[in-house]
Amino acid sequence: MKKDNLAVRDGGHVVRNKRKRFTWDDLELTILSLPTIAWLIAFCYVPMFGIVFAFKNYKYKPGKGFLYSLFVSSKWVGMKNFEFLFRSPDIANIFRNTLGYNTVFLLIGVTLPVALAIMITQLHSRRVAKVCQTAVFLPHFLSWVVISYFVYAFLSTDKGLVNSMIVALGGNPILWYQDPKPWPYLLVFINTWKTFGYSMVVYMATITGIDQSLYESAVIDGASKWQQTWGITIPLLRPVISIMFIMNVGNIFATDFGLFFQVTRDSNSLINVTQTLDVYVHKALIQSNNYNYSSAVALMQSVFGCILLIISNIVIKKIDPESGLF
Amino acid sequence: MKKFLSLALALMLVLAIACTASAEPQKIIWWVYASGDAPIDTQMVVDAANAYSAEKIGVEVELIFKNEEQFGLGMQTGEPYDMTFTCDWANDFASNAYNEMFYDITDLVKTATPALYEAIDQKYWDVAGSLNGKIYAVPTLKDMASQQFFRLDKERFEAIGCELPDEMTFAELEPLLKAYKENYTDLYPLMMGKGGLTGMTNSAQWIAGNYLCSPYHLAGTDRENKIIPFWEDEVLMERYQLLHKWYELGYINPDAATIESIGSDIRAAIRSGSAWKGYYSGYSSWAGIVVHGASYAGPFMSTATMRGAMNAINAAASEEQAIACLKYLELLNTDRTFRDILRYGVEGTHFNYTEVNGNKVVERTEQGNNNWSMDGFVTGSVVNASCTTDSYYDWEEIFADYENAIVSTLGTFTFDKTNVEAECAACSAVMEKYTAELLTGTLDVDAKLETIKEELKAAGIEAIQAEAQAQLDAYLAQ
Repeated sequence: MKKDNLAVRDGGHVVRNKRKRFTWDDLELTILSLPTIAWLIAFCYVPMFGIVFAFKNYKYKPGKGFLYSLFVSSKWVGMKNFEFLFRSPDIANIFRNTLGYNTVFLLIGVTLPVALAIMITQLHSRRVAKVCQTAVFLPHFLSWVVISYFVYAFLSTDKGLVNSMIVALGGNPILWYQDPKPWPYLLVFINTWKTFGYSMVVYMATITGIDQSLYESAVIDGASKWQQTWGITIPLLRPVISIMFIMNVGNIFATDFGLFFQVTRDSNSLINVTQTLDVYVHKALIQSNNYNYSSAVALMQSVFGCILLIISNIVIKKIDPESGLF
Repeated sequence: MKKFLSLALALMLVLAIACTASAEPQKIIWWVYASGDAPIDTQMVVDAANAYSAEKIGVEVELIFKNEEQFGLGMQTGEPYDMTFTCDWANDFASNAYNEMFYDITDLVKTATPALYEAIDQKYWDVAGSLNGKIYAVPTLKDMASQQFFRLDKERFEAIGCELPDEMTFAELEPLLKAYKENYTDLYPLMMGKGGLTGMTNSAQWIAGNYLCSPYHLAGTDRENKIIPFWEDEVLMERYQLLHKWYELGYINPDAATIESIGSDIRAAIRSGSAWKGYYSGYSSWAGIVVHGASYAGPFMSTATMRGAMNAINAAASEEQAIACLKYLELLNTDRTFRDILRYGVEGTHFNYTEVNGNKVVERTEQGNNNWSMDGFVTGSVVNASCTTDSYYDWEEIFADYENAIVSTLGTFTFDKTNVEAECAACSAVMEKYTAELLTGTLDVDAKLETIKEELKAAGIEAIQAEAQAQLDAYLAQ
């Protein structure tokens, strides 16, 4: 590794010259990325003008069209739309839930999938490894609404599997959707179950790409599996882990509405442990169709997320200059 | 000479336009309400209706079904339409009219469609369709007051020896619940979803969300014309307390607050709903059982109940389009054959005319029940449509009865929330947390009330109350 880096640095001038020319490979890669770029422009950059909503009191003017109403006829109100969020008596609770859950998800997200990816690549039988990989990947494709029904099948008060078992064993049925205590654990479990398969595949792809000769020479030097993992796999996974980490930090103010609203069946008894920013915004604005307030909250989530993303990138680069997203 | 020539040319142009107009039927886009998906046979019925209306008035319609949320989005983004459903509970009439989203038809309706203006009673134009003295919408003639009924499973209650009254109080439900529970031990007598008993809160006129109201029963007392938070309404609080008591006694299904609704596949002993005398009694093809309707509240009358269903015209529409819309509504309100097409579908396919006791009524076919079924008010006047074999009403009698209804003292007052929008959103969010639990009795209202009060105060309910009261006082002083 070190040697490679040195070679690049020594011949830096030559390399830079080479990169200026647009090669066939570059063209191929550019074409390959075109759909993604088009998607990003169409769905992420073009709609960004909607940020204006956050600073306006949008009122549609009949016959003038949406853009005219937004930019010309609606009044500017400065930061007034942001006040709405802080009017809620639950604001502390909302932030606690949003940040609390996301921190837990973040920690689990960088440890569990890595551990499982390493374990699966160590499996001797390729077939078992493939089956495991597919099995944990599958929930990724289910929508939260579908999952909410799975969960309901287990936890429903009178027909749920869990309560049926409790009753069969002579216990009293539990009103799952009215008892907030188990839900923090349930939500963490359900979210992990749904999402970790996807990040595991990313790590497994990186592990497969590691040069096998490194392991061979380690074996010749008498390194155990444990030592190989700590000495080779994890250090080489580090850049990917930090990229995944930084990207998740950017979403720390946004929560999965499906998880906190659909899976909990919008049960108000659970609200203290399920009310996150997105759930609150939905509940407060579902009746009034106020796009100004919801835009203000979304903008705030993005701005804070972006700031955190940049900070964590700086911190990670300080610790390990080779990692980091940019 | 030049003048004459240009005049002649202009005349020719007008004639040419007039000719093309009469040849091609005018097309209007009409947004109507649907709680779920559009009915399956929409295209077939609309084609039949268009053939009829094109011949009679030269207007064709494109029918677009929208739910509550889609109305808001469509209105706010400027989706094209000519005529839209609007009311007190979806696509809010008052706020749209305030923001001048609707066409001012004050004069147009009188000059262009006098028959329509005649067909609807003056009081409904003045109270329901108007805002600040201008008419913005055409009221749909249906039940104009709000009367609450329990819908009781006649067969099962009579099998256990219960006598079912025509009128009762909310509290009088308790002996029925008790008897039912004792005889059908494994069933819940009061099955409900998170919406609770439909119409239960309608004994007050709601000014803001479900936290500020003006109860009808306070008319004539010293608290008349006062806007109060819900916990000062004794009638509503008693219902919440009773529901909690029944919940504790095991009369209500324990998961009520978390399930969406009780569908027609479940045979519920007691349901509730807003309707009019006679509506619920008899065989219910929806529930598949014989239902006994027992009134427990009302009839109440206010702007809200009169604004139960209306149609308004897009402010951006041309006068020509607006007249076409009014003509269409006129036809719906005056021509029963046409009204029956949009109400019941294509004759011979969705329904057939038959006679009951000398009255011409409609008998729906299975296809009609399955593929073209919706609330009666969706596509126009309920009153002008034929009655069905299931249910026959004398609308004249029902409307005459409204003279005895308990009428709101607030007149045409409508709360303008512009100045307290943030507070309203915050209060809505607070109430969202408790509403389903209150309506289903899951929550002990006495124990939790202090918390709810505190949270609502923090969210700014007092500011909203003061603003609403000030607006009301100013309105009443006029």
